[in-house]
Amino acid sequence: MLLEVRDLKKHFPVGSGLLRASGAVRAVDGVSFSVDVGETFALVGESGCGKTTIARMVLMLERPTAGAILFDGKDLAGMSGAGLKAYRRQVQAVFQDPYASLNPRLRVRTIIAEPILAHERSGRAALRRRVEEVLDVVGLPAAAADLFPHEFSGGQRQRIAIARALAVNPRCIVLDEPISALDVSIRAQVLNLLADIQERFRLTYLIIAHDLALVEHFSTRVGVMYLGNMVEAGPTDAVFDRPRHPYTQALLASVPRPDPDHQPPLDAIRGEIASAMAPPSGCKFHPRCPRAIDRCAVEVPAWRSLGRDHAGACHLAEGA
Amino acid sequence: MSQPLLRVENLRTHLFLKRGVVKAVDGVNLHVDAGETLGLVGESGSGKSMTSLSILRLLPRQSGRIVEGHIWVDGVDLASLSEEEMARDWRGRRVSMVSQDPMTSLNPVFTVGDQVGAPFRYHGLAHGARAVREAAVKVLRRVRIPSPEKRLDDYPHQFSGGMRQRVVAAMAIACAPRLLIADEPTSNLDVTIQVQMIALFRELQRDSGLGIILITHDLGVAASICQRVAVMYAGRIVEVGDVRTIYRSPAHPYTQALLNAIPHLGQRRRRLHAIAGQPPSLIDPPVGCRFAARCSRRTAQCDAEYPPEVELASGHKVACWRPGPEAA
Amino acid sequence: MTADAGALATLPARGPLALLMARLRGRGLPWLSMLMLAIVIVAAIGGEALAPHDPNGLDLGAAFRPPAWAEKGSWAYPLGTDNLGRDILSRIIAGARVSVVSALYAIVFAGSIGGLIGMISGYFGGIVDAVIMRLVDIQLSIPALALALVIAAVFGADFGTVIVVIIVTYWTWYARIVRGEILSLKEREYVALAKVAGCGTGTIFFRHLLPNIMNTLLVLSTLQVGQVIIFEASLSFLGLGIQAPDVSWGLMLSDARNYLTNAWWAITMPGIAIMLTCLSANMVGDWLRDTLDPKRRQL
Repeated sequence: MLLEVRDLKKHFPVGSGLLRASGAVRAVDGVSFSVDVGETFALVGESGCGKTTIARMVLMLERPTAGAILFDGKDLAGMSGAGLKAYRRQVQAVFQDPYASLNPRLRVRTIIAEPILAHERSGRAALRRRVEEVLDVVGLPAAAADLFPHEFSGGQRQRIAIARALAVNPRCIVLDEPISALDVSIRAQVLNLLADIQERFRLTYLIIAHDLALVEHFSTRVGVMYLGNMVEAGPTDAVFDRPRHPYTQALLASVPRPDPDHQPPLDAIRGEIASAMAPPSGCKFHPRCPRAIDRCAVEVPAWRSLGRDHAGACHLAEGA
Repeated sequence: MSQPLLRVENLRTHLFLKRGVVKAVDGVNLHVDAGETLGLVGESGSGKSMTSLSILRLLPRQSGRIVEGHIWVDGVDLASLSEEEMARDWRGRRVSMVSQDPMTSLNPVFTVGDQVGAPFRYHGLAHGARAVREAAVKVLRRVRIPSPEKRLDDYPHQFSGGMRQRVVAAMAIACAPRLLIADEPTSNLDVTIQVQMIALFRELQRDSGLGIILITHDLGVAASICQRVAVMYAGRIVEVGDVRTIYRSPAHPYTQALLNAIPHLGQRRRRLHAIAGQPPSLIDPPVGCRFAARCSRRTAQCDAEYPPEVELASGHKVACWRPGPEAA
Repeated sequence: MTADAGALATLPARGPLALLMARLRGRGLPWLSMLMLAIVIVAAIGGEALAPHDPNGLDLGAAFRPPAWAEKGSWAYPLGTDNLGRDILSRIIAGARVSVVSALYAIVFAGSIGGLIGMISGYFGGIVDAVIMRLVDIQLSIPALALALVIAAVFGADFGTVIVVIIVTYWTWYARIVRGEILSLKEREYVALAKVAGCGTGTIFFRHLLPNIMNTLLVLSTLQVGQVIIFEASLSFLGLGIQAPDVSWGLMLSDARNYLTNAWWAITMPGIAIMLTCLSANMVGDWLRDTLDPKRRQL
């Protein structure tokens, strides 16, 4: 197990006042999952479900309110100095917007070298070789190193972002919506590239996405999130073939397919996502759930097994 | 054959920028019948949004200009109208628009009732505060906003994302337009909200005989709403046909490639057929077929001359030298 | 991947400097304003050496000469003379030094102190930010002239007082604006990625944040030149700043106000010098802001 997340919580205080906050957004409200070496674990859900906040906590850009994140068995919370440096070297990230994720004032060479130089004193020649090497891996010519980000298209920029993430030979890459800002015809190029480098460098991916078709195509295991909680998790095959949680079912049913004869039923789901500041009682999904019973409004459903490695939190879902 | 509601003929819209003249729309022909939804599908920079802005005459004032072509609606060429005529009788009245971002389409300092009532007041369709209010309630009810009487005095921020997009739709259909242009109306919405908007669009069209142009990059959304689909690439329409033809038996290599380049639900860990390269510059587009450089069926002819549009079946037109089903 | 390589080959390799120059050329330059500023700077550097007369040379016989074009004027004193017969043009040239030097001090010190404080406040946020911003609020609520009076009373009125008062008054502007910029800059994805890469705070400050606020600092500084010149003039006018025999535009106004009725030129000429310099600085500042602001760069 490479990455383990245990009962993770992140509450953002809201409201004015210098010392006291008047409330909290429960962005992540008790999430657990683990990712094995070489696996692609996907966190999927709609806006506000907390998936990006989890990614930011794994990347140590946010501090958890409660719970623990373990990498290789070591708790992130206790890391400092050399331990933190070592962690930073092993976990890299690729973000959604390739226009915002590359500093427009720096040359590609500097951008890609940044993580290397943060960790080692590298000679000029060695650095140059390494930059050109990773550019080659992502399919860009060595000449690209001397240009600025604005001289590239969106797809090429995302390749640069991937090259940068690869520069320090990480073990794990967090992919936050890596293709959703790209044009349709470019997405496949980037997705295929990500699959290739995963195989070549034995990478572990934690991917954050809202696009279910992408998740089904790309991941080996998936966790479905709703309003800060995991509602269902398991191997991609199991979750997509036999979704057990009504939310997963509704989500899958809602995706418009590029086939005029297989369109989503238009009554698949009603209502909208509640506020994370005042989430519904019991099961947070119950106001929108087509199968909700009285119990759902009062009792938080426990996390339970729904089959081999497949689990969920629903009063109505039964084990296989 | 009856007159279509909208007929665009050889439309050329150019953007005059300092770095050159961008031929954003370069010879587009299309038509929309009453009660029909035409999907305009393409990537960013394909000219689909510029086509719609040309029809509405909302091009960037400094740089955008329709250099050639006609836009016929009800026998009137919108391309030849003055800005005054366009604003008085057409835009928001007979030709209307829903844009991508409901947040920027609504003014945060006015109530929803004020904003939905505005088209009625502006076009003189309702007189007096009471009549405007009633008209606003009616149109909000049509877009399925629950208890609209109570929500008229709320401000946009008090509405959820999906409800805001409904309010925007209500403003667009307030004056009972003949033609509605919807530019990526669902792309900022979550799937479970998107499916509700799709239902609304279908309903609007069925109830009112409205002609709709749906601009989208999402092939799934287009399949779920449209009767016909036009695929744009680099400023031109490369293929148009009824929705089943386009998705079941596309004849243009770009349409085929586009359908193969995205993961579809139900397909697992299959390598995607990526389209190599990227679209050409529209400042200096190639003389031949604009997709040629990325096409698997490219021949010398493709580079030499732009392919003429051929009609493969009734209503199914393709601009390609070697159209036909995909090679297995 | 050949297509990628091909696309790259067609791209012109242009650095940020070349882009900046292209942009600067693209919008008509405010030539007149730049010329005016250049003249002021030359005058400040040359000072007395450029002046046709000794700025402090008394010649009571030549007192109250009107400007050359007026009746009884003479080209020996193009802008006329004051009550003591000193050449006004020479005094304006000599006074330019005080104006330019005080503007430069204000920019360099207030800019770097205020900029740094603003960066720290915006980047670290929390209690640090709260404390610094309250300090700024307090500073902004103290009238600058009252502060000048206190400082002058304690340390005596001289050029040093002027500089200190200017710095103390103007750092808050930089701190506030830079803080606002940093608040949005630090949320940029490339800043987050720099942290993920393992970069320290120093690297993030100097590689990712500082270059992005340089434009703001530059524009703000240019716009402040005008304000600082007027402020210096006000201090000297009130006798809190420059003292004779040094020359400053404010001091000239102060000296001339008693003779307003019989020698209008003695107060008008330095007034025009202040106005033209400030106007030019503001126009160059506006132009820089419009040119450097990426949001206005379109078209």
